[in-house]
Amino acid sequence: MLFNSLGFLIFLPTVFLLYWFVFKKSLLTQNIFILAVSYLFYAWWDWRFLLLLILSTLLDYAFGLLLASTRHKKLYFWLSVVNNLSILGFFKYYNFFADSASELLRQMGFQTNPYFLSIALPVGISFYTFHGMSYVFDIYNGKIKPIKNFIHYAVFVCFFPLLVAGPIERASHLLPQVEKKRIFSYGQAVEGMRLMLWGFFKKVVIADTLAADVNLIFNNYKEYNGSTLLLGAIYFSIQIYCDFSGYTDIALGAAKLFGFELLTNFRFPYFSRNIAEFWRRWHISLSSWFKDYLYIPLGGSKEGKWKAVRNTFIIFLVSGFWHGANWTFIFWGLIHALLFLPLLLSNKNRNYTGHIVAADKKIPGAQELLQMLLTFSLVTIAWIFFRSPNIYDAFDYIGGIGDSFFTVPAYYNQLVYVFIFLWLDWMQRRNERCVLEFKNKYVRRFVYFVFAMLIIFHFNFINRAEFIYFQF
Amino acid sequence: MKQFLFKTSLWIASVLLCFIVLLYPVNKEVFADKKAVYLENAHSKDFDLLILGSSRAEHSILPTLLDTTKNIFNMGEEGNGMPSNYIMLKLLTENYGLQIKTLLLEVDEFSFNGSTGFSRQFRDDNFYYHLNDPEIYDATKRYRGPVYASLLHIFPQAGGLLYNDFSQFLKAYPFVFKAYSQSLQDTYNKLVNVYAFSKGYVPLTDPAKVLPVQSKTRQHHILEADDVAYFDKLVRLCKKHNIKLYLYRMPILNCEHEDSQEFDQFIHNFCQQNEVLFFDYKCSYQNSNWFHDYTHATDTIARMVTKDLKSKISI
Repeated sequence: MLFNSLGFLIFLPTVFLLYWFVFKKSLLTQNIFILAVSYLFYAWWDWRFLLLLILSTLLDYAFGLLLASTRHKKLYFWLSVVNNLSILGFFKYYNFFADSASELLRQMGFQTNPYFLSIALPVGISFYTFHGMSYVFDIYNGKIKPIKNFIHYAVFVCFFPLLVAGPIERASHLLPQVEKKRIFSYGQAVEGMRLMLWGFFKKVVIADTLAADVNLIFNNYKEYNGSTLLLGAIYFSIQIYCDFSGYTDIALGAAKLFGFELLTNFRFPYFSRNIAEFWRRWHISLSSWFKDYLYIPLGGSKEGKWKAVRNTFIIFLVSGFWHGANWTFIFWGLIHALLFLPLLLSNKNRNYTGHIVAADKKIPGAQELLQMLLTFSLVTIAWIFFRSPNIYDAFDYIGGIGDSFFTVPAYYNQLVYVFIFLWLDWMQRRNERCVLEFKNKYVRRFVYFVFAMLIIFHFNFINRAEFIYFQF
Repeated sequence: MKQFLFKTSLWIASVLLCFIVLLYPVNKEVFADKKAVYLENAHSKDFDLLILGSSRAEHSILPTLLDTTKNIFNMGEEGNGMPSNYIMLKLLTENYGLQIKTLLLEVDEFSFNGSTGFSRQFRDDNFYYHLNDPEIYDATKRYRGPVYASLLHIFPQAGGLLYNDFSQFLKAYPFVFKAYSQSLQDTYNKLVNVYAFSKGYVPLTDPAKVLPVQSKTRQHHILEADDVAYFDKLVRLCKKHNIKLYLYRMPILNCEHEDSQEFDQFIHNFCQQNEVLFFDYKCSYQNSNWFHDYTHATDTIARMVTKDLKSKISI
């Protein structure tokens, strides 16, 4: 079920009312109900993959219990890792590996006829697998104790707002909330509604509007002049941000309605002053997951410069590969690693860890503006690889930007959406969601109203656009 | 909790109310670029020749070149599939009781591939105001979903908005006030006259400067049961109302890319059994300068096709 569908607009209030009026009696009834509706939410897409989700949940739950009761912790830990990566590898990467191996053999002079799986990628598999892995890792590292109640654990993995596109939760953060009876909070629910409104605005009004032009430009890039190609790349940068952060806000908002607080996933990444800051603000739950469970176990930056460089490349390449079974994503990760490298070598990767840019000013200084523009440009170039069907097309696209650049671009009308969004994002940079917290209540109500009307007017009832991150 | 529910419900209700109030004056005239407007105006006129089909029909036949003394109209529209063709014909013949002497139906391998995205299959935007008809309502429900169909049934004003994009709505909205402050009928007639002049033909004059790369693999087109069923219904309707039926297929650039074996066989059998003529231009006029894109011919080809058809069909 998509958040931006009529089905969800009926599903959410129904579940909300049943949850707080019928199933509020005990913690167990609350969690059983949440689990049931989460499974329903997932099965709406394809009920057959629900079995895979349940199997994956059961296995990680069992590994958690085994890790706590055995002397062979390392053995079970690695068994759990192999199990999770096998599921992910089989469903997500099998065809990619088969194709790449076949191509390699072909170039070496061997003719092969690889067997490809004709199977859809289970929605959200990368997300729920990582939930389960974080749980097992935390038990193995002694950070948490295994949970005995399977229902509680299953709610942690399958809670419907975060099931298909995150944020990637940590057991230490979400499980305590699952194990505690939720009591309705007016303030939390109102904040949840506001977040959902803002999320829908980003997804339905901004991202989906830009998506139409982005698809046209990227699919027929050879037809367009350089300025249009540049505009297409900028549109895609904004589209993917609004699409994914919009989804996250809807997920966070929906979770608040049920008394849960999920992890923050974005903190105004396009106002970053360098790539390192960008990665502290973009898809935070994934970056911190890789940092905690891959980068630090590999030695992080504490074992010398060259190991830090090696580890940085590993996490960026793995992060790219996590996004999809295509060389474009790996290349995208490589670009970010290369952009990160100078900062790491010059020890500037920890700059700007504190406040957001121009925290105490209305507008940024000239240097800050240049830094932001440079970072945004580099990120945008990398997005071209992310969006293109293959690396050759991406290079072709970038090459095309230089052709007849000083001409009027096509589709410039949608720049209005870009500027409106960037202005709103800039206004709330000191504090997330403050755009929806105008002091004057009449102004605030008017803004909510305008947002709601724009969402209805832009809501595409016919061709509902999926969220980009569903495919990962 | 009660306070939250009350305030939320009140807020949602007020937003929906504003939405309805804002849209209430919107009617079919606001989105008047559609031929549905002409359709409304066509009540009293019988057709000597009606052209139905997709965008390949809309950009292919010039009624004014066929015969200026007869009432000929090109009702082809982008995305029209078999369900739309049938419902349009049914609306004109059964609901409006119009006589149609001859029907020239544009068909090709794309017309029978509704669900695969080659055509939109059903142009519900032409029928928002006719959802009381059970067959039209059923088709809307089938292709757009029950929620959408029932919403439009109650509130057809939302239809134009849901189908069109927001900027189009903003551009069109002033018409609402203009129409009300002056005369709604004037605006309506003015827009209808545009189609009355062109008789529904929309020329594509500019050839594409650089055509997009066509798929390297040959596109295989299937025949979908739904579309075949609607085609059968259309044929039965023609027989019922004594409408002389002709079929034609427009040229496609690099026609060998489109594998239309199933369609070719089907149409061949159909024409033999029913003694219907099929004029096939699929691989004619293979000059890229005469094409707007791979599947749409420019005005140059449209004129050649129209002239050729003029010599072959009797109106």
